[in-house]
Amino acid sequence: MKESQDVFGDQLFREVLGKSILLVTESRQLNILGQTFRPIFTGVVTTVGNGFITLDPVIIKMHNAPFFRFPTPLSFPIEHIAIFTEFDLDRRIPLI
Amino acid sequence: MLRKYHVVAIPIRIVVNRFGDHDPNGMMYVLKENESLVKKQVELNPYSTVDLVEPLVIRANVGDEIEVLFENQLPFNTGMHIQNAEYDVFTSDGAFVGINPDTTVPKGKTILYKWKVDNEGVHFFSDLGNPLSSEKGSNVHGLFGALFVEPRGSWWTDQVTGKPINSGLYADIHNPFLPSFREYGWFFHDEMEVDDLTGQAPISPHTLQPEATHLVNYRSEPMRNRMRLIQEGVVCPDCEGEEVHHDSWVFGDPDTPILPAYIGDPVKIRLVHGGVQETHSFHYHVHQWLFDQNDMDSAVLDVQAISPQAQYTVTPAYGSGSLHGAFGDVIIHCHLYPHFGEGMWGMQRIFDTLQDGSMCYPNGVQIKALQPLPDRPCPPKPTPEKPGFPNFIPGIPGFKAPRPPLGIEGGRESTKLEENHFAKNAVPGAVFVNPATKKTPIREFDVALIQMPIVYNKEGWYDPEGRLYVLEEDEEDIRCGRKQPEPLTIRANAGEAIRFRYTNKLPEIIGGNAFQLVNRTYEAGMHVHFVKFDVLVSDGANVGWNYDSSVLPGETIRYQWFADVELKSTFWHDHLFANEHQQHGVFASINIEPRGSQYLDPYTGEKMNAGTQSMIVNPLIPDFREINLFVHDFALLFDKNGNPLNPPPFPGSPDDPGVMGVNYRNEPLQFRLKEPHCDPAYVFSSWMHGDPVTPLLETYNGDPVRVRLIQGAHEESHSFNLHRQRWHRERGDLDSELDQQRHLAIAESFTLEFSIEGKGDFDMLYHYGSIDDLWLGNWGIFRTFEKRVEHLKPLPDRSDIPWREEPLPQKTGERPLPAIVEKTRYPKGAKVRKYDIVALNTNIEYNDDGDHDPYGIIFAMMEDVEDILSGKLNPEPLILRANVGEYVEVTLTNLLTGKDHHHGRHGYPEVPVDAFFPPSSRISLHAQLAEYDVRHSDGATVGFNYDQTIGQGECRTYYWYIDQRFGAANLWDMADIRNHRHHGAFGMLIAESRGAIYLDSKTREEVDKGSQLIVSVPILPEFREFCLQMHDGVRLLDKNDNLIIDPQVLFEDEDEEDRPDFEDQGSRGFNYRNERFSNRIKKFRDIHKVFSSKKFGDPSTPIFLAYPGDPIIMRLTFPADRARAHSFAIHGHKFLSSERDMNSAIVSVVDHNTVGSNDNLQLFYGAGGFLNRPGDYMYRSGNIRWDIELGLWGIMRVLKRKHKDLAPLKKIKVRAGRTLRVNAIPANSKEDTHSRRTIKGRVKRNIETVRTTKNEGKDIWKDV
Amino acid sequence: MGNDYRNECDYPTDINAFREYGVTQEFRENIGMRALILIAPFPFLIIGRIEDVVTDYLIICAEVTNINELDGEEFRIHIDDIEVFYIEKDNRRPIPDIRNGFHA
Repeated sequence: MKESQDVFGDQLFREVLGKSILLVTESRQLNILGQTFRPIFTGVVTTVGNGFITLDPVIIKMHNAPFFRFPTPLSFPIEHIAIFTEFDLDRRIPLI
Repeated sequence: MLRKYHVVAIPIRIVVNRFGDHDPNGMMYVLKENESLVKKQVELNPYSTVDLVEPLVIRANVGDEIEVLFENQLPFNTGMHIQNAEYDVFTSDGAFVGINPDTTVPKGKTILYKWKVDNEGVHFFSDLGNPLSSEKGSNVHGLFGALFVEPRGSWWTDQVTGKPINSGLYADIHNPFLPSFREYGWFFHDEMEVDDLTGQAPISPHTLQPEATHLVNYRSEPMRNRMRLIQEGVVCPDCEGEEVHHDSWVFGDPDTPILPAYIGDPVKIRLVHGGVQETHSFHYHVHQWLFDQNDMDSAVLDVQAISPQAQYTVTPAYGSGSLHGAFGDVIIHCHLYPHFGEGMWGMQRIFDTLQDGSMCYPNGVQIKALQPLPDRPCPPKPTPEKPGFPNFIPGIPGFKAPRPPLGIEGGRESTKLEENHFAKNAVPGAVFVNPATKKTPIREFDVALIQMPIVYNKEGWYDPEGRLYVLEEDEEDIRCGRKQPEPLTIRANAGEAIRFRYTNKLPEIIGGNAFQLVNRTYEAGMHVHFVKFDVLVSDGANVGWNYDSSVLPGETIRYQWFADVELKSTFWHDHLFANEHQQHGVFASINIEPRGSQYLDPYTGEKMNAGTQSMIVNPLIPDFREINLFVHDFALLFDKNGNPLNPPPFPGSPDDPGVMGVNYRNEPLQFRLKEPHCDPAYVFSSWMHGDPVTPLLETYNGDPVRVRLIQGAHEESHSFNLHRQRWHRERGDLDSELDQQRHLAIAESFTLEFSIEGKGDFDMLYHYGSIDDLWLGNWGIFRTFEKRVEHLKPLPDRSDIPWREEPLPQKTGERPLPAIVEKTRYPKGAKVRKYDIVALNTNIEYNDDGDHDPYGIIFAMMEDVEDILSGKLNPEPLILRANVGEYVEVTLTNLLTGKDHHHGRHGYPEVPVDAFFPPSSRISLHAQLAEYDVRHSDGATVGFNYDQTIGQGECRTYYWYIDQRFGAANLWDMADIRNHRHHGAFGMLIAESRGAIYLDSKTREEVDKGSQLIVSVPILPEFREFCLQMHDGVRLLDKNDNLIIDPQVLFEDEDEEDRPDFEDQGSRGFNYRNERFSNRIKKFRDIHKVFSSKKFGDPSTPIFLAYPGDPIIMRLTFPADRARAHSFAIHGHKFLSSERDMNSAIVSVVDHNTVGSNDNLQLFYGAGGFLNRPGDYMYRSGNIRWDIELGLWGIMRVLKRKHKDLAPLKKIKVRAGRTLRVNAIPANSKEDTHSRRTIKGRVKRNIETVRTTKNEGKDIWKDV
Repeated sequence: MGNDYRNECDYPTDINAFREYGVTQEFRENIGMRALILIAPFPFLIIGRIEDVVTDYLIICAEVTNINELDGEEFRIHIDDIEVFYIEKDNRRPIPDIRNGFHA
């Protein structure tokens, strides 16, 4: 794809398409059914475009279950992504 | 969804271990479906444990409604009172309180309780039909349980079979959106009546004296039984006892809980205190967790102190085995050593291979199957080459665990089987898991554990068998006195691996004196908290089927710890003979500092390797000063003549022996009196006595400081208090409260971070709160200088401090001069609130039955003096209020007569090592949390500060500024803590919002005092403020002027032989009031009616009045007096555990209230809970023994209809375009949610058979 | 003009606005599908059917949130506040339904 068509500015994300990344969004914490976690995710980038990217499989790095695979893919609006980096899904990192 | 349970309260024999220790009069809740089975099994197995005999745990999901059909089979009324849930207090309180109907039931009857749950977590329930503190009560025998509430959409299965279950302590919890996790209920409980097989009190084979039992989940594995097997030669006859107490190689597995998991399984331990008296210290090796599981900024803990009827959810980070995936046996225990020794421990067992029931432990016992969690990878199957834990460890059943491979210098070769399980990067001390990589920076220390005499103070109090960790490089200097002994404090930076060579240089025996029998202590290790280590080889302990990672005298072992992140002060100690020698000083710390830090000596400026005080220098954050304070009790000291100080009733007794210390020092108050006046007002004065020998922190004004608090030993609660400086309760969480006090149980560690605020040179008192601590000398000074002095280096990034020219103050031996107040200049337009108060001696009536303190010492408003002295007004503790942004001038006049009950020796309530200590006739007032100039408005005459106490007939003004809405704070006299405080010389200061006015709750007239009133702020909701000052250590006379010696036990046939612990001596009060059971009931069969106003009238404790839905803030402080921690519960209401932090836990209990604690409870949804139901809601202590019985309970009454004694709150209404404030409760309310008839009808329907009680059904509904 | 992005034609367009538009468009194209949404503000989690998209607001009928009492509400969610989402475009990766209690 030519850069000229990159209206969403997602060149950086296309570089990791098909690769596994670690991704952090901007809020302090998120909450699923009362279980809270820092918004740290790892997963394989399956789609990039239209202002968001999708990870599948996707792991939510919950502090009590750092390798919890979420049952569905998850999409992340690029505007809310704080950082991302290529990352081995099996790596263990401190979370608290 | 609606869930239904049928629960029965049954009498049952509870056998707590295979040695036949049992409670013949046990009581438990059980599901009806299991009742006959459990009874049958107990009948068939009278001398062994029965799995179904366990605290009842039932489950529900968030949002569920639960109906419990409760049936009582015990010979007195019982019920189920639940915390945290929403319920109708008229039908489902499980108690008989005030003017509510009775929702307990007699034997043979049933009642239907309805609960609704909105929050994940523990919902504790227990009986309040029989809240007696003695063995005649129900809770002490096991009548408690919990509803565990799971996330919406969850279901639960058995951990062994994978089948769905209805009840049980242990389950796997599953949810479509969340990780499956292992859930383990962990109920601490204490004081159960446990007999041995012969029906007698269990005897310790060590002391040959009766011994108590402490329990987890109705089980206990005390050392005494296992020790007997050693003494009889059945197992390892060369062992002593404590070092193998937890060793499964010697004894097989204990009967206490073993929580099975695979590496990395998500875990939630639902920690519950079902007991009645003690505050326990839950410690879980290897793992750490967030204090608030739902707050990602929350403090990281690995120890949780817990008082009766409190609960926590412990969610270890990274699941079982932590970040590094450790496996093996991980002990979980109460860190209070006597409790630990008396059976309060269990473990988590982390397997590295799949367990399907086909494997056995080394002693031939089957390993139970453990279902892998469905969303986790299946663990590998065991093979002959890699059988997995514990079957590769080369031990022999019946003998002590083997020593670890690689670590011991000159030790054995490792076996092939062991090597098959080694980590790829195995090193000595990190053999089976090693979180460090090749790039990890390494820091190395050589540590020795030595014995030498340690002198604690200038009077020569000393420990002849002091034991301490030292760096090898310092050993000689410490032994020959060139360096003072202190608890070893070393440092490392985040991200480093720390490697130790540790040598045991202790003698093989200890004791042989009034405190301790001769005991072998022939092996010792280093057990550390917080950092990551291989639990099999570096636990410094001997647990389960692990190795014994300690060494014999003269041996050296290598350990590795990995500090993944910045931590606080990280505690370490010996785990082999901790009960026997930790109180001699065997505790130390490694402080894990920010990356890139260096550590400098504050007096030489040179780099340092060890020391409790340091300057931490870092290029990216402000440099800071650091001090480690290790408080400890059970210090087994002798005076200079060799007499034991506070010896126990017999050697080896855990009955509160010895004294206390801070960093192996103390400064007892009894030695700080000076002839001829011997005035306690100057005990803290350095002018008169010189500086105390306890740790002195010196700073320059503005220096950043981190105080690292640890309790090193051994059994008591301590309460760290500091004057003037404040810190966030959780260091990393700026939403957490500002604090000036911190409760500490053994092994807890906290960092208090602040910078020194204030002008000029001044001294600040720190102390450990309780009279027990202060009396024995647990206090000291933080000193700050405005200008640079010769002996103290400035922090490198704050080195531009001008030099001081004046000489430093010196001891004069004289009374300090009165402190002078510079003319205070306020900013233009500042609001100054002035209070004119007095201190006076007066009689205080504690209740309507004539219990009174004729020697009360109180603070009161000047205008009330006449009414108080004439007996027209029975005083309540002083409450002062001010708004944020206001200056406060408090002028205190001393009207004390100096009258007291004694002439120099106080007596009951006693302190250890009592001595001559006459009452002071001076008085002062110290305020927590306010801002003020320490030089004149601290209220304490400390160090080289000038005198701020007030002589008889004199007066003095203190100047405070209220900069924050900190809510409730304590006020105290600091002139004589021993003789004044427990007689009532305390009060409460409340910081309210800007613009608040305080209104009488009946007339709405503006007032400036009172424990219940309306606070009105224009842009916030009006609320009712209910203030409670909870206190103990009170000395009361009854109506015939006979001294009441508390704790007195109701209906106890035989006198308690043991003397009560010092911290339990004295009566209790809420706001100088109590409502003792003994004044209400005379017959045991009336016990369930004890809270009933129908039977006995309203209690003398405060009755707080509100209308349904009224916003309520309860202000709770604990100003006096003892070391015992208390919990506080309120029925039917919930609040945030941290009122400023929306992510903090939602609770209905305030945990560990102790001297200096302060809390603000903003009740969710207003008075009456979510549905704003009227009725009587009990507030009370959670300590069944002895608080409730001694009168620590009262009522919050939510009135249904408008009553002349209570003005409604105002709410905003817009009428014709104008904003109006109108009554929130209209005069003729038509919005009744329930009519009288329906409520009554509902209760009637729910209680199948209503007993006819006098008064019932008459005018009781009048006001509700 | 730090926020600006210059495309081939060299006239400035706001890249942030473009990206937000893209996400809005994604929801618009999938009206009628079930979606799972995580937002930092209360009530944190909303699962339900996408009813409509109006300007940069998403209209969703909540079948499940973290709070039982809010089930069944029709929420208007500011799409720019959505931090994480999943739209169930086919039956292969369904969003689990937890409304009736048991889901083994």
